[in-house]
Amino acid sequence: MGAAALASSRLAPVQADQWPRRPVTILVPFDVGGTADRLARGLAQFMPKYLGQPMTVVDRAGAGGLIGTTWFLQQPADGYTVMMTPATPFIPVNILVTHAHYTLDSFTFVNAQWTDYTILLVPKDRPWRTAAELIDAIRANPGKISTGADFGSVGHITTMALLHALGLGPDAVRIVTFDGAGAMRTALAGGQVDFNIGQAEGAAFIAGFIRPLAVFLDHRVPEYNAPPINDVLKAYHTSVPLISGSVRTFVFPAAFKAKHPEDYAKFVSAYRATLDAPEFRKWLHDNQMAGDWVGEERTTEIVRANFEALKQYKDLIKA
Amino acid sequence: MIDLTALAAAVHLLCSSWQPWLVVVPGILLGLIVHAVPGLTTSMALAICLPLIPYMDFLQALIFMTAMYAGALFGVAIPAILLNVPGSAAAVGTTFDGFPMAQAGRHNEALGLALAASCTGQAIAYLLLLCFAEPIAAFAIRLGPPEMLVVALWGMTLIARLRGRHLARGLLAGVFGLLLGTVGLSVRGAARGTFGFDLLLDGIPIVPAIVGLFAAAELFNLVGRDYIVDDLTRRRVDAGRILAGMRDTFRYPGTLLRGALLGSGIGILPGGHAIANLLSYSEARRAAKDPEKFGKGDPRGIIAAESANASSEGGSMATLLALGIPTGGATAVMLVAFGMHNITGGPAFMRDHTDLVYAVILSSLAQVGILAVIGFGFIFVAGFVVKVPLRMLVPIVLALAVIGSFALAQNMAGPITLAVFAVIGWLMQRFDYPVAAVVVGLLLGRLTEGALLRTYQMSGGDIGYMLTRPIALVMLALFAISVALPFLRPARPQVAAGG
Repeated sequence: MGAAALASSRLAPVQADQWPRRPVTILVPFDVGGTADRLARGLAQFMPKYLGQPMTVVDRAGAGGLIGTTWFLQQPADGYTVMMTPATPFIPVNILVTHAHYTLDSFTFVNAQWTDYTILLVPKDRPWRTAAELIDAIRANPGKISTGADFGSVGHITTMALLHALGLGPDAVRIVTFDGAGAMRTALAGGQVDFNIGQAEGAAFIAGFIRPLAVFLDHRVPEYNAPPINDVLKAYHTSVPLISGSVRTFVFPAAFKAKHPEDYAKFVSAYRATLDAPEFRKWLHDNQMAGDWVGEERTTEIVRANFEALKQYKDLIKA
Repeated sequence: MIDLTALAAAVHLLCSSWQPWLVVVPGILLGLIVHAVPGLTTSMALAICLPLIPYMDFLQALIFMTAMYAGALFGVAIPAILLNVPGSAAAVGTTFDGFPMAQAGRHNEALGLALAASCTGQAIAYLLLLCFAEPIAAFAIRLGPPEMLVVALWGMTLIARLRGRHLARGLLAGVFGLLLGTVGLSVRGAARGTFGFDLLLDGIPIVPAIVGLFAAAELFNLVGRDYIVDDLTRRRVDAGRILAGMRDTFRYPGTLLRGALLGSGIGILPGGHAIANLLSYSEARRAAKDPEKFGKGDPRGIIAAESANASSEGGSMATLLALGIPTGGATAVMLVAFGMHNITGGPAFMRDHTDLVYAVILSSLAQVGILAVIGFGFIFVAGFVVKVPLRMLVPIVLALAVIGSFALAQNMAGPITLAVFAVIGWLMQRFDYPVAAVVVGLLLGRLTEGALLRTYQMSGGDIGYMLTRPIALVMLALFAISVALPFLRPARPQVAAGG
């Protein structure tokens, strides 16, 4: 490392005492080709112009992000390794379900750049036209209707929260756990399960097979002709917490910001400049990704809210 | 079933421009190299190619990916035959007879057999796809956990067939493998058998474990010998013999066709492509009049495993091309191209893009022919491995295998697994336990458990639920017949099955 710093300082003597003096690694704790990886590769293409150093993407998948995240925290907190990850639901799940050796305080969550929402879907051949019809059917036939769940996902937690809000136990539906959201969506398209609460973004691939019944937002969206869930639940005099889906954000170890606040500020300003750059905005648009700026404070709030919701329903998803 | 107008449009699409063809040869070569060299991985190839995809049009991107896949399907057979190193789970069946053939100096023939069987298998799968893509896909997405469970149980009977000389040791080895398969985070979020190691949460890394069990253990056995092939006169690369091997493939049309059809059928199931080669091998062995020859360098073993492996992606290609839904394997990768070109799936996908789908299938058929030529040249070069003295080859292969296991697992879990399983594999061979049975158990353990758990969850524990799954019932009946058949036939004088 010292040799590398020496070599680059020889190349760029002007910047010798300023971060970043050498390339920055973006760690993605998931596989190549996933959403976090593709977003990271886009940023690695456009952000170096504003950061002054190249960025390289490294993927270290495993155990729902736990393996890569653990490795990330073992690196020096000097700003030369930054993580791009769907911070929720994975970091809360790592902590609460998989017993990771880190806490939310181990991280600085830079900005929820691209956030997904949750949606209630049924296969097209099922008889229910509205969310109320489905809820009534579940109540009339407890333990008969099945739902798919990607274990520990926001969709899974939301399913339990919905049952809880309706005064129903976890046995009120048959919960079928799948290995990953992809396998679950295929099963939903094939009508293997009766309904699913999952991420809207992935659902586009099976749009022709499904009927949306509700969105877990406080407003309607143009993509899906379905009401907000809490409007439906008014008739039942209850409501559910609206938990954000995948929140993709840059993450630093908390020690980096504490020890090097100027370097952190420099990273954030380069990142904001990238988000504002027209060529990056075009790239995001072409790749159907979002480029929101909500900032560190709001992002941390979202992650914490999801953590609390998961904590509340953790015992239900284990049952 | 073929829409002739669309077919004509597809031919026009492919013939009016040379651009779609530009990517075929690089795609096949990339697939071959990445899967033939231990130490390179598909995700590395993907990382290199992803940035290129947006610059291709949709058809070109799909053709590039199918070409890469055509090369990959055959590529894994090369190290499986020459070095007993299966590059993926899909090549395990090929090692059973491939490596014994290579050791006997019939490496040229073995590689030729594998190439011809792989090309034929792929061609049959794509022809089926061309005629029946829509019905296959409609059928495929109706298959769920109960059907998967039946196939997984079927696969387990293979453990008994791979038992070697002692039935009890074979079963013990199989159960050991099944138990190893349950290590890691279950689909219900429980961590089992990890002893607190985070690296084991994803389970035992399968490919490093297989390479350790098969290759490293075998390489230890080679210490003391000078070359893979003992006979100096046979230690050469011979185009004539490779061609003879390719020709020989068609002397077993029954084995070839059964393999291709079984592969196409099992490949429809999500996750089925990893076990298609094993089931086909097992069925070929069951159907043979002289099953004791299998495992000692029988060409039918290679043909059965390779034809099934090659055709097994057809099923998931059907759901991808007809419905725009990936069901795993290579198709999940191709989804990236869908996403980048803003194309979404649905029942109308093929109806809206029939010409495009036909164009992909037709070009894939053409790729099979190109693969036969490129593959021939490739194995001609790869075959020179037999000329390398073992005192140089063994360390090189072991080093590459260790690097490859690190690349696959992306952490030390890979190399550690390889080392541990090399010792286990060597000990098992030393004490006459069948290593292959452990591998089958390891491959099926997780699959079977997941299918069983989901079937239980879907049924709510009610056994009557199976009556609502007619496809599973038919499969169960076929399975029962297949198991019962040897007992129903009049007993014939039989030597204890060798392994």
